[in-house]
Amino acid sequence: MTTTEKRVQPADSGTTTAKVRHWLVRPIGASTTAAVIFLVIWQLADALGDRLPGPIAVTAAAILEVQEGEFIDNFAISMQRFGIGIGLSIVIGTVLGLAIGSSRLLNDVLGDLNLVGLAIPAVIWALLCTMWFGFGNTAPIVTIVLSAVPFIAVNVAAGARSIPPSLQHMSGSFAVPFNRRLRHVMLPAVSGYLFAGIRFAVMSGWNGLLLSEWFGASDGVGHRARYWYDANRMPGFLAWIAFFILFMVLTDRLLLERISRKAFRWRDGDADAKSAEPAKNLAG
Amino acid sequence: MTTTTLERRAKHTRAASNNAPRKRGANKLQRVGLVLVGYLLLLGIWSYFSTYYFTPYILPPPWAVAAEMWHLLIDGTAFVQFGASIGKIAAGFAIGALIGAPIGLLMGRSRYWKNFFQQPMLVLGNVPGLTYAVFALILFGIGAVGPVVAVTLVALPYVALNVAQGVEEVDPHLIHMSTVYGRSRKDVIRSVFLPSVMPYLFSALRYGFAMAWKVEALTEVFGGRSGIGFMIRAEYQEFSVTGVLAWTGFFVLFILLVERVFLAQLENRIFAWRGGR
Repeated sequence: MTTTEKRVQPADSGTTTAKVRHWLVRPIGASTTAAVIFLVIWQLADALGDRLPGPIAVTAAAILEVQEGEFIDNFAISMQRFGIGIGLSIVIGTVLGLAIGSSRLLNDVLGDLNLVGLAIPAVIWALLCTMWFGFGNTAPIVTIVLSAVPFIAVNVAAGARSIPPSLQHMSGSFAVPFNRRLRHVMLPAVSGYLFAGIRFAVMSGWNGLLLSEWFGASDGVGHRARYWYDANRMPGFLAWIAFFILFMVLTDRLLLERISRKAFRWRDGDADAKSAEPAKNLAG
Repeated sequence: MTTTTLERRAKHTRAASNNAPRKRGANKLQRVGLVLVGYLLLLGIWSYFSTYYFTPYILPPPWAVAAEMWHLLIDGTAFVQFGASIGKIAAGFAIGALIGAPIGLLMGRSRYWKNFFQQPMLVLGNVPGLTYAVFALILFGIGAVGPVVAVTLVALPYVALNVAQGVEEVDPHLIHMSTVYGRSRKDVIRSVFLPSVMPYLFSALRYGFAMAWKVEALTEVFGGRSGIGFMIRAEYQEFSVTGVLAWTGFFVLFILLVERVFLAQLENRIFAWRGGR
């Protein structure tokens, strides 16, 4: 994060340099500049110190890991756990959130507990689950559920509170059965909040999965990262860290943000939904 | 914690609400009572399972954990370790805010810098906590520097993005009017910029603190020499579920204290100008 790269560019006139200059100040150009500066600093850190391998070594290790098939194998195992865990969290979190959001009483009783759940770090769940369930699939899945459910519940509860009371009164007066009320009144109002909650939950659950596999699993991506770490082979370890970050950023940017914006479209129009909330959407 | 426990909870609370609060006016009292009912339910389910299903080795009953907590409180360990953790968080957060606020200011004032910093900040916010923890361990070894740097890195994107948004939200008409009426720069900053940025800064403080706290504990689990993360790790290595739960208990108590007392009061004071909305 230096402050000098504006001056780095040559001030020559001429069509190509002008074009490059023009491109550099556009959003993509600025992001690229930032990324390049980051990579250069990283490589310099490699050259100057001996603790941290640079991007070239890490990329080589990553390619090797993919070629050996370790990448696919471990990701398949972890994705299975992740899918099951997040699926369970969505179901449990939605039920809890609807309960908290639609009843004053349950809000008072369960709301505080949910707050506590939000506050407990995933590492505590990971360690506890390792002690409780040992190595295997159960510990990672339970860790994901425990660290993801509060996020979904808190968001769904906010959605349930936003259901127009007049609609509920109306369905009450016309004796609409609960199933139809759930489908036509409650779920549409909640869906946008649910997807926002899933975004947090995916982030938090992914962190929980990594930690849980790090401490208590003999396969999966977290274990593989630990394998390299224990072997004191930093390029391999950093390659996995890069995979984790890449996976998280891609899922968040390509999948969840779009779905979330789509689900909120009825409320925000076509303006982007992000401006509606402050930048708290990077909870982990 | 599946749906069945939820149903059980629901049933219990209905029963409780029928006989407990008779007084009409004591609304707040009723709320506090219901919150307590929630905690009691959790403790009840916990003690039920620990007495009938599991050995204390796997799931110790609540009173055993409470005894352990009491023990830690009496001999002062809890205060010492909490103090160590809080000190690191405060230092890291302060550094993060010092770096993040100027970046946010730049992002809010200039299109180019916004484009420049936006993606790095979002990626920084998406990084799993494990990464920070292990990086801190690799780069700084075991000690206090690692956690502080980890907290700095966590706090940075929160502060920067929130300040940027706050600066963007400043009403240009108000600034324009202030210049027309010849107010000094200092006045404008104090009466226009700060009130508009404050809610965003507060939000950064609130969510950033929750995040920083988690990552700090995680970093201490990996490479700390003091602090609650370190204590949790020590208990884990002795396979003492009681110990881990006791420290989790302290964690929960502290979070509730911060959320309910400290942040609530700060919010009241900072947003007094809004007239209690």
